Amino acid sequence: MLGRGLLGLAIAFALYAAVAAICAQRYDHAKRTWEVVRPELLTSARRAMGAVCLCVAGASAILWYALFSRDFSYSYVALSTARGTVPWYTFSSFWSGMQGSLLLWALILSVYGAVFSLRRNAAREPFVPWAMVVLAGAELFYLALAFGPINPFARLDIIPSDGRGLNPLLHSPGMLIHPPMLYTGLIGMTVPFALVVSALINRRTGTEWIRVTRVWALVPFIALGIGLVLGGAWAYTELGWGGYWGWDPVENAAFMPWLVITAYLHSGMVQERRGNLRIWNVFLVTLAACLATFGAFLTRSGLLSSVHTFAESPIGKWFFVFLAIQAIGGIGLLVWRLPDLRGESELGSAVSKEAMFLINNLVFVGAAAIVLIGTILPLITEVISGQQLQLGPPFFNRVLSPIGAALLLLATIGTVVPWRRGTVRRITQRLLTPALVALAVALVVYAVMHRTTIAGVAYVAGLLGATTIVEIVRAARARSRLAGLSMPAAGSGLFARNPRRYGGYVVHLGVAIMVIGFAGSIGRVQTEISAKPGDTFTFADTTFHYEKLEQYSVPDKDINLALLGLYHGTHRFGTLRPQLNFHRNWDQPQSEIAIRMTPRADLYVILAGVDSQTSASIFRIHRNPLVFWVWLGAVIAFIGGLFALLGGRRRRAQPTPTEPSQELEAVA
Amino acid sequence: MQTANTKKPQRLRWSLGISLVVAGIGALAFWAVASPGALAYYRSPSQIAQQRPDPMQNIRVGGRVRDLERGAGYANFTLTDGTNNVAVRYRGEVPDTLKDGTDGIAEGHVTGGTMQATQVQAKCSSKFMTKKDAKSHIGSS
Repeated sequence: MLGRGLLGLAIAFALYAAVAAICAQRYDHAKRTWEVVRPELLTSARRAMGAVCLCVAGASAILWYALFSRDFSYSYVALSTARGTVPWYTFSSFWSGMQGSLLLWALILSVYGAVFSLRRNAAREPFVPWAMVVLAGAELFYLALAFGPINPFARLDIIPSDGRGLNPLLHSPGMLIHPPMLYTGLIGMTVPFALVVSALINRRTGTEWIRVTRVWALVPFIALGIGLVLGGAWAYTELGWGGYWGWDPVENAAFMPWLVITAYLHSGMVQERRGNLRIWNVFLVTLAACLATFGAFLTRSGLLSSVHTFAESPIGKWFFVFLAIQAIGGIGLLVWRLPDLRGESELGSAVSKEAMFLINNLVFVGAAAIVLIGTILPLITEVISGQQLQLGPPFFNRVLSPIGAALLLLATIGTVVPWRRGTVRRITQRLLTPALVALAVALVVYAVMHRTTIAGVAYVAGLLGATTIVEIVRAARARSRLAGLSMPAAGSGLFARNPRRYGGYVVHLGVAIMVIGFAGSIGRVQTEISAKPGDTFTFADTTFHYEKLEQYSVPDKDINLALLGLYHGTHRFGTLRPQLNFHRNWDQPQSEIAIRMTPRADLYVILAGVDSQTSASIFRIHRNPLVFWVWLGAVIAFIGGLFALLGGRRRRAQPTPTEPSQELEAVA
Repeated sequence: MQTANTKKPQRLRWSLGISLVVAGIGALAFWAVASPGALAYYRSPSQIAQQRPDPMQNIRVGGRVRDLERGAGYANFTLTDGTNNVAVRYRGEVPDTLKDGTDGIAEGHVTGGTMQATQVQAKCSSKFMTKKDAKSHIGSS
């Protein structure tokens, strides 16, 4: 009862926050914008946003407590945990079902709302009151669902003696952090959206809006990026098909808003620098937010299997209404304020940073559009003709490989071309060294992989990676010469002085490395082998010695563990321990995949079957080249993103100085 | 400062450039749709039973997996939607998560009611369970 009561209280606070934030303002007809006239009322609205967060956190704590204390009178607890569930999976079982996920969304949004409203700057920024109204409104939607039709605190009439436990596929460390990260990214798009709505209402879509929005767009960009990578890691280590990305609709749903917000992070810079693309930026943020809602909705609504199951799902129709309000409201507001957004200055030369950013925006949004069409095509065709027409992974791979290559090239040129106007000659000069480095990278990759396609991709990715590094080194050298600093000091000085630019470069470097890893998927090989303990077999230049099969039981499962010694000739270089476990509560076998990762290739072994009498075992073995570089690149990109986010915060209070690195570049 | 004279051709050039990029992306998408194996008609086993699909069409069929028989380099199984079945023959390794009682998707050409699959996928619907599934599990434990 207490849990639901807290949700009710949160609803009351959110309602109050929205109403108070509106009443604290007055429309100033002379200035044609809204002014805060009752600051004390605004302060209380801001505090109410904090109170919403406390209430939702309290409700969440109650659900967690019920999960940990195995209170099976809650149907949600009975469905997602069992007495034998280990603590960390009990923790993550919070979001293993629809009701808990919804509460998690409400919790994440309330944290965003509280942080946004209670920041020190929130009292001053003109966008805050209306943005709070939007955030409170969105929060009300989730809270109303959790309070009413999708209640995580529903009780069972007959209390079971034990719960069913968590789905064994979710028994993965990735599941502890992947869903919250993904939701932090998807839900986080609500904040830039709220800022867009507020900026439009206030007729303030200028540079100040861009500056405030940047941080709030970077947070979901980073969180969603981490969520996507962790989802890939989870699929790779748990699902056992040997890959990390399958163009599954759920993956696509999270990928689309990421593409659009990435586009925005670039085009926002154009507006900040040159004042162009104001309509486009407003549109991009609205689009990203709508796609994020659509993504959250797609994962939970049942829309994926068919439009018909969607109608039956309890959550689907509500989300549809929410999405419709968001899309129609956002676009309607944009059209209404169009006269205020017009009057942009002309875009200049085609050989300029802004031109590269504009093209990259078209490509990013084009990619998102293609992924969207590919994802919802079955639904469209089902509505039109009654039969579903689906697009498979070959479609997505074919479209997005050249698009990815184009984006890498644009990022390369965008790095070396100046704002306003550059010359082709200067660009070629600056790309000369990177081109040679990229050639070396491509040759190394070719020597290891013996594949021209992979080497070709490595060249394009290497070009971006090398350009990034060369530019950082060049700027650091110029700085060290000019200021008489040592190279490391000059380098770290660069990052401290301009974290946005150099953080962005590091993200580019990480992405370039990831792309080399993606290309490795071309060289995948796999096999299936049946062997008995004592047998030896060879696959992909590796000799596997099946040493023994261990069979034992733990409280919730029976375990089969195969020990495989790995040899090159007679040299033993490792051991792999794939498992095949039988979870009693789930009545199904579950493999624990064994992976030996090296920079060159992963050996990926699945114990697919064990004959209980003869101990004959079936192994499925994949050799996946270069996967290591995907994870390494992701870590580098993450560090870069963090730099761009946190490094920029310290300097925000100061007036924007002329960028020191620009001056230095002129000297270099 | 730009004069009205230079503005017009510049705007035209930009519009032309933007249209080219957009058209390029569109053309790419169409080329990819036409590539083999990209497009498939989704059918349920019952729809296949009612109306035999053209053997030339790329069909994707989904259902519950039954009678899964794995061998070295091949797998045979039945996909069922409760009322009708489709037999699936596949050369290659089916994913580990494909088991009797799970949901599976096969893609290929259907001749004489049997699918020669070119691709087999396990549907990881267990990632996010539906309420109904969850209830039936409680009942059995």
